[in-house]
Amino acid sequence: MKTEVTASDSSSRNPPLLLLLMALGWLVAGGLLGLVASIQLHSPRFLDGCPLLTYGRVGALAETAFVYGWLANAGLALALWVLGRLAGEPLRAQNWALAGAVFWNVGVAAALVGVATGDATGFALLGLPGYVHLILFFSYSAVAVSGLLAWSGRLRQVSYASHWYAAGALFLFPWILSIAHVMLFSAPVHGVVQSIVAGWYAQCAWTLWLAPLALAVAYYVIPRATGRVLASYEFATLGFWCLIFVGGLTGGRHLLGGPVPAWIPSVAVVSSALLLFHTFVVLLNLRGGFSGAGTAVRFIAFGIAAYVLGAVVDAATCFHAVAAHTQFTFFDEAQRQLALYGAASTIFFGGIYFAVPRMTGKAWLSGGLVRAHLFLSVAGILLLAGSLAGAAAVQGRDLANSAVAFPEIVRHTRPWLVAATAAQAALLLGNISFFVNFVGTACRIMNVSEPAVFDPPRAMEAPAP
Amino acid sequence: MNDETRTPPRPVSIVAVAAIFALLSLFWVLAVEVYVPHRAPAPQNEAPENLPKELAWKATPATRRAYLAELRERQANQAQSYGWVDKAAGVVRLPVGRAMELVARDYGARKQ
Repeated sequence: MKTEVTASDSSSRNPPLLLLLMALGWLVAGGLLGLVASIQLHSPRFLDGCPLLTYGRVGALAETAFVYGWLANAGLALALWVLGRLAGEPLRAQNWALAGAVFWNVGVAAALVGVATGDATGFALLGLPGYVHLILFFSYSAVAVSGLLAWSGRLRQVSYASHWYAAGALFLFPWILSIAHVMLFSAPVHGVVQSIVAGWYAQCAWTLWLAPLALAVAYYVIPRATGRVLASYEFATLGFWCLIFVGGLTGGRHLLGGPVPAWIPSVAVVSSALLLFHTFVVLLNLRGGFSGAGTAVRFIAFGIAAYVLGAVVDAATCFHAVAAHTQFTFFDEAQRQLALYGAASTIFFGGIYFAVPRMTGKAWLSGGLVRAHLFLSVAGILLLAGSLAGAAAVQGRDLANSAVAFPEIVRHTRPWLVAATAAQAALLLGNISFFVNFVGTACRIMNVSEPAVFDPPRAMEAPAP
Repeated sequence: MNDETRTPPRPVSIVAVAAIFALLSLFWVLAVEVYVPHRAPAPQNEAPENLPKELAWKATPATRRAYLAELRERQANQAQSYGWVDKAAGVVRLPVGRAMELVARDYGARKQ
């Protein structure tokens, strides 16, 4: 069995491979920090002697490394690869993309130093200090130049769903970051409006940046790996525009019952329900992935399932009756892990398993490490989201009962949080195996004596039609 | 796919790159040009009219910061120097470090 490797794969591989190398490095570093933060949640004395490693800082460090280190790098790498392939020619402006990749990671490292020294902002998904925003903005734009030139200069006039989502994410992140930066840092809004802007940014970072990047990968890989056309593809346009127009309006759902004008959470609740249409279209289009074989398809199918489940849970928690039990509990964290880890990360994992052999022209170094990563990731994500949801259920029940003292609530949630730590450890192990496998595979580019076009093992690829 | 088959990418004009940067900076420019100049000042940052002289330090963030800096300097001096608090009643002020030594010595003497 021989898989297709296009001319643009090898000619355009340097920027995506550099971004992926950085992404996986941050994934392992973020996982380590996430594990420390998770242990500190149930054992607060752990590493309490070092101010740099107290929970407030480690939690912000883990989130920053995960979102801006892993997800952003991986999303950009795969977006470039998808846009380059769909363009039908090698990526242009690769030097811009390479420079952007280097400076983006310098910015992320500077942000982590800032957070570690106490400059974290406290805003969800925007914990990085304001002084690194400019470098992130320009470096992201430099990488985006290459992708947007591939999109606008494509040889075939037709455009696909992967195009829309990838190009959309490339445009939208600089826009939402610039608005959030001006309104929260350079000329900050006052009082409660800060919470509204911060909530808006956190939601947009997911719905208008990370989710489109993940969907671009899923829409590209699923039909190619399964060898089947996407079902009900004519609805894909509606799904895309629904996400673009409605996605940014759902941020106010985190402010239910808060001291904000009532119309803000109301609009968010209605938008969350409307967004279910987009989710339904995604499920309709990509359902073929659930019957596909191969590691890449399995990862992506799991990610799509988590994406759909996350959207349904988001909409359900907008109801006041549900929010009364879930607000101010670990449920927010469970939802975030389901979205960022369960949906976006697993789709990126699938995309990387599909793309790297085509970029390098070599099969993955170890099938065993691939299977270990798949097993540990799926088990870890299910355990992590499940245990945090369990902790939230216990916490919500106890918080509603005024007879239960705070130390009792902490004692009741402890077993669930220990399970979450076990899940973090499993995920970290899986990610280390992925990192090792990636580095080993990427290094095989140098070995010219190996056959150039790979023959993919059945465990990693669906057979071609 | 080996290196001999690699195709060079088409060249890029600097105008195209500049146009993309301009497009991506659109909302930054809009926010700075439209939002910032028309931003309503926060009530706590506006100097109120007819403020009594003794409350003048509360007028603006700058006066509040200056007052706070002066207050902290005064407190730091007081915590590190000797002086009278109430000469008639015989109450004195002494550096915190010296006060700690005296308290520790007194407790030590009492234990013995």
